[in-house]
Amino acid sequence: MLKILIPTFMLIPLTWWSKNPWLWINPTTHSLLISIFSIMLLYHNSDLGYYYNTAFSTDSLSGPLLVLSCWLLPLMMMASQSHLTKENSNRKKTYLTMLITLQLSLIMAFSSSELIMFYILFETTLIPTLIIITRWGNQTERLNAGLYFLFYTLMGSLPLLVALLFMHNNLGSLHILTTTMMPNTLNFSAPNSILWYACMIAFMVKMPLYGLHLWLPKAHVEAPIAGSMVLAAILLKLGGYGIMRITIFTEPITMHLSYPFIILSMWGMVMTSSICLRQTDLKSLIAYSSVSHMGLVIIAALMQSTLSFMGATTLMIAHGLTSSMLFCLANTNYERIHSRTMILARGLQTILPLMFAWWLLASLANLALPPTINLLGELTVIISSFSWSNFSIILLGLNTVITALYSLHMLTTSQRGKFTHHTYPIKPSFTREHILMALHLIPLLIISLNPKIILGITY
Amino acid sequence: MVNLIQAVRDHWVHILVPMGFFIGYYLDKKSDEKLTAFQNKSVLFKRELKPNEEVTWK
Amino acid sequence: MAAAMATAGLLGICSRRLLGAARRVPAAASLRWSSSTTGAVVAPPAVEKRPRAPEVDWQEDPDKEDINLYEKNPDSHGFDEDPFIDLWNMRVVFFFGVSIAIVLGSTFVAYLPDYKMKEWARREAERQVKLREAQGLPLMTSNYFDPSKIILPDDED
Repeated sequence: MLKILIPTFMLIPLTWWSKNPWLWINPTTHSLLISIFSIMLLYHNSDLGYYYNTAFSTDSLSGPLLVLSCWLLPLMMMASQSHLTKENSNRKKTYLTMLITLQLSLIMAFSSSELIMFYILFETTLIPTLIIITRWGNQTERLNAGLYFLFYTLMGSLPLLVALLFMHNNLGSLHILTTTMMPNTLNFSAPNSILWYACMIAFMVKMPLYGLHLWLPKAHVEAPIAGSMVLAAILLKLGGYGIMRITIFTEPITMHLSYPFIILSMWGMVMTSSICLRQTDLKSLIAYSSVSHMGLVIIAALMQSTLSFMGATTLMIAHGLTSSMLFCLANTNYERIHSRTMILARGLQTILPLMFAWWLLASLANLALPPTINLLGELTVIISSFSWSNFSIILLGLNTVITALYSLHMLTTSQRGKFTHHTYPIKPSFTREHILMALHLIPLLIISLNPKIILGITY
Repeated sequence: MVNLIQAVRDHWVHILVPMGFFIGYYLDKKSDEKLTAFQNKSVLFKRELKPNEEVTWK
Repeated sequence: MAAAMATAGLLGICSRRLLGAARRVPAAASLRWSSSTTGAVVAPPAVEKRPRAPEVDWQEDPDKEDINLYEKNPDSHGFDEDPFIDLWNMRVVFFFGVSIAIVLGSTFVAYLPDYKMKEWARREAERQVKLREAQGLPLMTSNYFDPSKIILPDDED
């Protein structure tokens, strides 16, 4: 694991000692190299996972997430190049350092083999994200968004700390390998159910569950492009990852207590996708669509069946790439139109036809069209929840329809029609933007040729 | 010659990440060796060594 | 008509109460108040107005200055102002991103050995089933390890 961690750490001196014109090329190249090396983590020869030393381990659940977070760092750097052109070089370096620090803490969070260490790094990711949002966001509302982001996640995760310390005291160890081998620990009783809520609420806020999601649209909308990308693609997945890790030893009580959460998140999916239908703000629409997709992951992670765990893992990877791509596309619009209002960006198809192709592909991936892995994820989750309860197909089916509707709404409002006059002097799209979209979309398509590598621990 | 020195001065930073990789590789190797103390000690999984075999993991 | 007037009056009273109680929502309440009376124009009572929080956030870019990289360099790839750096950044990203990561990376993943040894397990299971059927043994026993080979440690350990 240190083979990845130490090079990632060395990106920081690389950034600070790079000569000025090479400031962007050097970290991009080397982070791409690190992400190429991280592909190694996809291979597993057994269900047990690899335990590198006493602190780090990866298994087939965290491996794909690690590869995703390594892959996203160069993409974030490429996406924010034009956003930062006016800053001086020290600020650019600070920005890159923040991204790299975030990356470091994410890698350690996903690969930590101890739940307390996971908790610490889970909290550590807040700091660079908060700095990225509140310093480089575009508008003054970013301060408000940062406040929401910080306090929602902090308040949610404080009970988790208490619960983890308590369990560490009782069980003697929170090492992932030992907890999988321990017998069931949480039986039905009132204090145990409080413990269960304390374990879950942090991840429910992070996912986010409908009702605890208010921080997410704010943070996504106000964050700069790299912040939105990393929030949607990886930080939300910490929640799903945490649920799947912690339900290992909350077992018998989970079956009982998860009902309201599953129902709420099914209902919330329909609600948030309906909210998407009446959005005027492009980034906010994508943010709400993330909430809706993450609802599926919550359902899958709480249902605790083999198939649903596969679906949850696949959906996390698929949504990571799709939503990140959508945010990139929204940012290319924003850099040209200078507004997030969808209706002001209309008619872009006639001006930037190739960009429209990316928009179309991204929207289709978002509504889970066959060759993408989004379909695989959604289908496995829907099938497993159908066998859990037949009635769930009503809400899930409705949600699928509304997802298609709002994707179409987003596509037609922002791309089709006649362009407004203020959009006319518009610069053509760059190679940088096209390669950015391609590097999001191609993995999404080629993984579907060999999806078993992202099917998670239950494959 | 001057060009070479200039190029080294400009691009020496590229050594940092590969250096990090090798440091990480070395440290990983070291911790692996530390963990071999536990190899073949489990009562359930241990096996007899073959005649000309010193350790099970090589 | 009288009934209607009475209702209107009642509504008026109600709305006045509402106004007194909830001064925070002046717009909706005052509208109903003036329309429910007999048509006389009544000036809405002077309630100190609090600015309403905007329902939709401000969506415009505060800094609208545009930098068009194509002005100085028509072949720009969008990475940098300097054409040399721009070109090299593009080359590096395409080489490491597409040639190495996507092409070689997916080849690497495609030719990885048996993932989680699933195929081996399948072959082995088929072989075992055939063997056991030929020998007339039950297909599975409840013991994974041979119990005679396991030497349990003493109780005091």
